[in-house]
Order: sequence, then structure tokens, then C-alpha cells
Amino acid sequence: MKILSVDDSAIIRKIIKMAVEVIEYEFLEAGDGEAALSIINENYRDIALILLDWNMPGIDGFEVLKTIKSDDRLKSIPVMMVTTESEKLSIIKAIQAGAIHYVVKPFTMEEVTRKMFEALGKGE
Amino acid sequence: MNIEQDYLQGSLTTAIRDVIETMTGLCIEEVLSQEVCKINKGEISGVMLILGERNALMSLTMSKELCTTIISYMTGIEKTDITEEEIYDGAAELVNMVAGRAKAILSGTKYHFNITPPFTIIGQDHFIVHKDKIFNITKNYIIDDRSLFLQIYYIN
Repeated sequence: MKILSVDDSAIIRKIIKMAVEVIEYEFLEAGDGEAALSIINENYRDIALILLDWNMPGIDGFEVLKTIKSDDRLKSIPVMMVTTESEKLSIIKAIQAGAIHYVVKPFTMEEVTRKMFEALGKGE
Repeated sequence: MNIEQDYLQGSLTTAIRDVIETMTGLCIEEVLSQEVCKINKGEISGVMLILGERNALMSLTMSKELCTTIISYMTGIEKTDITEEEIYDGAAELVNMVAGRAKAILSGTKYHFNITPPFTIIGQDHFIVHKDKIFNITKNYIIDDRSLFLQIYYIN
């Protein structure tokens, strides 16, 4: 199974990749919302989790989240926001739209790995 | 300095420490000096606008070596394997996280602000010059024996 990281920062995607490798999942990445939706549509049967930045050029992370959760084929894929966007209202909006977790940058590897485990239903 | 400038400076000071320590595990020490240096040369600057009751431009200026070290600690990639593009991206993400963390600290207060997408300035010995009457703050930090300059320019 695969985990998709969507972030316009290549450095953040590298950090997520390290965490994904620790939990032994295959890693997919996208640098913007449009590329993310394309990858999701091609791979949705194999995607176990999506980690999504909020502020990105073009289609932002919140729009990607809403698109995923309004599509019957995709809506069961858990989505975790990983973002600098930290307003309480934004967190509530994302959770109401279907995000399973919300991680605010900066984060530790331990935190993001633990949240991924939880999102994958592994409860560690 | 008015109270809002003080809050912004305080939140950014806390934020820079939080981001560096959380993301890299490196120690960050502020250099406390009475001497005010107006020109702080560097090789790479992450820059961002802060838009609130008072607007400001903030920059983090450092050497390429320090930026590479920070990215290496953040990602676990050997310094020699880090590309130029990753250094530029890392500087932008660093300033994005610092401003984002400061925004979170001031969220829900009357000093809350919004931020623009970050950008990066690259060039050996570059520095940022401002008009004399623009109020500005410079803080010098040491990370891994190298200087990092946080500069805040109040533009209204």
C-alpha cells in the first residue's frame, strides 16, 4: 500500500518520505493540488493515507480534501493535514470536511509517524 | 518600539527557536550584543511578508553552509547529497514555518496576522538595505557555530 505526501516544499516531502519508509509503506508525492488529484485518481485503490499541506499554489489542500471527500471512489481514504495553517477555524473546517488528523508545522518525526500510525488504524 | 512590534518580535523569536529545535534538534543561541549592525551579509535569505495591523517584511539570512546543515538535520540527508534546489526550497520552507509558528502564537489575539507565500533571495554576500526611517529589528543567532540573522522591517 502507498502513502501520498502533497506539499509544495520538496524538503517537507523528503521528511515525510523518511517517516513513510520507517513504517514500510510505498511513498508517492505531489508538489501541488492538481498533481495530487491526478495521482489519487490513478492510484486510489492502493493509497492507504494522504498527507496534505493546506497552502499550495493553484488548487490548495482544503480544495483537494473537499474533492476527495465528495467522491464516492475516494472518500474512504484517510487524509491528514500537515500544514503551517494553525488558525482554530481552519482546523475545525478541515476536520468537518473529513480530515482524520491535523499536524501543525513544525513537527517532530515522532509526532508525524505516530499520527500516521493512528490514521492507518494501527494505534501506535 | 510600540506594543505590537514587541509582540511580533517576541512571537518570531519564540517561533525561530521552536522551528529549529523541533525540526532539527540543533541548539540555537541568540547573540546578545549592544552593537547594531545594519548590514548582515549572507548567501541565502528566506523572505516573507507579514500582514496585520502593522505590516512587516521578515527575512532569515544565512550562509549556504548553515542552510545545508539545517536541511540535513531536518531530512536526514547527507549534506553532500543536498541539491541547490533543495537548499533554496529549504530556506523558503524555514521562513514559512517560522512565520506560521509566530502566526499560531498570536492567533486569537488582536495582534494576529496573515502571511504571504515565502520567497528566497540567493547570492554571495547579498544584504537587504532599507530606508533610514523604516523601523527595523535584527537578531543574530548562532546555530552549529554559524550565524543566522532574523530581520524584521516595519513597512507601515
